This record gives sequence, C-alpha cells and structure tokens, in this order.
Amino acid sequence: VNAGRPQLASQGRKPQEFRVGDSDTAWECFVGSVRWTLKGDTLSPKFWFVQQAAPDPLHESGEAKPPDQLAQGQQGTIQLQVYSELPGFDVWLNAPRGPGVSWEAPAEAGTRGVQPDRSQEELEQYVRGVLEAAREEYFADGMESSVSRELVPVVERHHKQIAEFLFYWLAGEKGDPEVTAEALHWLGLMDHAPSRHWRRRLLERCLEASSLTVRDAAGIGLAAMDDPQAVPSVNAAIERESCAELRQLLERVLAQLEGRPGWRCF
Amino acid sequence: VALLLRKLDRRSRWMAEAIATWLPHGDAPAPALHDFIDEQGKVSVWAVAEDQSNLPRVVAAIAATRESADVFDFVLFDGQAVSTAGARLEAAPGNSPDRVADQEWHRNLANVSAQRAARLVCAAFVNGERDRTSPKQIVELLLEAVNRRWLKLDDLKAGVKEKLQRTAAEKA
Repeated sequence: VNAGRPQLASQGRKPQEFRVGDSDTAWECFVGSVRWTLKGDTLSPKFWFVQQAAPDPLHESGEAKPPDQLAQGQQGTIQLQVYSELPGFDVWLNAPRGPGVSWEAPAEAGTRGVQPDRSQEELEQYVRGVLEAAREEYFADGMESSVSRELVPVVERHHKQIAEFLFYWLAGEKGDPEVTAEALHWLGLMDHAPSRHWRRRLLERCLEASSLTVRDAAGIGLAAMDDPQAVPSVNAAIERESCAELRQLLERVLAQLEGRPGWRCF
Repeated sequence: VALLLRKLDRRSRWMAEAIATWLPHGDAPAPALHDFIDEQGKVSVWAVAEDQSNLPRVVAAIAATRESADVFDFVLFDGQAVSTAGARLEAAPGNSPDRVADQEWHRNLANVSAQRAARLVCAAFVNGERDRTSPKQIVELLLEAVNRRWLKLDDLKAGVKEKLQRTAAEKA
C-alpha cells in the first residue's frame, strides 16, 4: 500500500510497528529534518541498520540517536519498529519505489507532520494550518511550542518553497500576532545557512508591523541572527518606533550589530 | 531580601505604552499575572543581592532550564513588595540544574491569595526594573556557567547544548 509514498512511522517516542515488503532497496527515514537511509538484506532475518545520509548537528552533538530498528524475517515480510528519540519529532518512512514492493501501515498511522514530497500547495496549507492552530497556545520565550516543532523542520527542508508564503503570512500580518511573534523568534534562532538571507529579510520586514508584539519579536530574531547587514533596517525601525520601551530595546540590538556595548554588562 | 527577580514569558505583554491608554494608574495588564503564577498556582522568584553580584548566575540558572538559547526578559523588584502584598517568602529549591543557585537564591511565595498575587504583580509592574538579556548574551552566560562548573553541559536541553557546542567550536 502506498509504495513510494512517505508514511508516518511514529509520533514522538511512541513506537509503531510496520509490516513492509521484501526489498533490498534502501529506504529513506526522516526524523524531523534529518534523513537516514535504512538498508535491508532481502527477507532474511537480518537486522536492518540505519546509516546517516547527511551530517546533522543534532546527531553530532550526541543528543539524537539513530532510530531503533527491529527486523525479523517472517513469511515474506519484515516487521520494522522505528521511533524517534527526539521529543516532538515524527518519523517518516519513505518506501522504496519499484515493482514488488508492498507496504502495510497500521490503521492508526496518521498523516500529521511534514511529508518529504509534498507539493507547494500542500506545504503552504500545512504551514498555514500549523500557524492557525497555534492561536490558542500560550508562548514563553525559550520554550518549544507547536510552532517551533513544526515550522523549523519545514524551513530546514523546504526553505525555497516556503519562503514566499512566510513573507505573505508573517510580514503581511495575516495571522495572530502572538503566533507570528513565536514564528519570528524561531526563525531568528535557527541555524540554517541556506535560508539565512531571506529569514533576515523577513525579520527586517516585520520590524514594520503594526503589532508591537511582532515588532519586538522581529528585533529579538535579528539580535539572535547577529547579522550586521540588518543595521539599516534596525536604524529605520528605531526612527519609526512609537513605544519608548521597544525603541530602547531596538537601540540595544543596533549596538550589538554595530559591535558596540548596548546590553546590560554582566 | 534586597531584590527579587521574576522571569517574563514574553516582554511585549509588559510594555506599558502599548496599553497605557486604558490601564488604570498603579495597575498591571492581566497577562502579567500569567508570568508570575505557574500552572500549580505557585509564585517562584529568585533573590538577587543589592549589588546584583549574583545576577549572572541566577540568569544562567534559569536559562539552563529552557529549551532554546532565546532572549531572557526579567523584572527586578524590591523584596519588600512581598510583605507589603501580604505574602511571605519561603526557601524552596527550584528546578535549575545549578544546585547551588537553587538552594541559595530560589524562593517560593507562601500564603498567596489571588488579591495578594495581583498586588505583587502590580508592584513589580509599576516599580520594578525590566531588563533583557539577548540570545547572544545568554549563550555567553551559559558558556561561562559551564566553564565555572556552575552547570554541566549535559544538564542542558539538547537545543541549548548544541548551540553552546557550536559557539565554543567557532571561538576555538
């Protein structure tokens, strides 16, 4: 079933069992933004193993372990158990394409998460859904949220496709200001070089928002990025800013970007 | 206790000018209450010396409980405000991985009623000093805390630990 389509293997730490068909083709397994390759030897009850396909700082830090695997040869099928050690990350399995592949997912397998081959429209709908669903959530600086858990992996994996929508939605103030502010926090905090330029531009644009919460979050995001190229935009924002408290905080961001002391000295 | 520190979940909810048009004098915006009272109804604060010499360690201790090296906003207010509000302080360990800071400076408020909590929040809002530590400073503070052995790197959440490791590698 659904060979060639990614299937949700597990959410968070909850393991789920999958019965997969005979194949010696490599499978792709996504844990958040991390791609792993699973390889198996035909039907024999040999262990599947996981091989990291691309360097990833989360794994290098030793915090993320390879997904557990359990394989057992069983009358033409292999039972595979895989789950994420990373709280908040879903595991996706991308079944190998080609003839002779069967793929049986348990009925309770959901479809939440970021599928690797979503179309542009599906991706935008997904992110929009995430941002709208977070409207009732309470956000606190430094703490994960549904926005951080869902948005950061999307940007890491689909940054080119999602940039335009995020400009439209966040800079265009289409959503709830608290949710937009939360998204801006994380867009500033994330370390992802390929999207760095447009994330900075987006944060600069959001300095012009009508919402004070959004303007503050944009300033925080730019402070986190610490990119001196934002100096003209922050300067202009200070000139425009009507709230004295926020203006003072933006002046500190400016000082940091210009390499001057500005924040409290410890 | 000279000064008390309470972290703010989101500073923009405290920006007076955004709400000054309707807020009665001496009052505080309702969301500020949420910043003071946790899910169990407890009010957790940190004692800070008059000369603020322990402030870096207190900030690092609180930042060490978080999931990202994000901005850290806080309000510092006169410890006298607690008794004025009708509550009292009691020593109680916090949930920071810095055990020394936890034991020495973390406090819970006892005898907290809704009105007393509101009075305390109003006092902190009107007379307290709000300040912000940037994400970059938080990383520096946590690195220093690890170097001074106030904290262990392994005590930190994955995202924070990763950020510290990357920053340390860049510096090296």
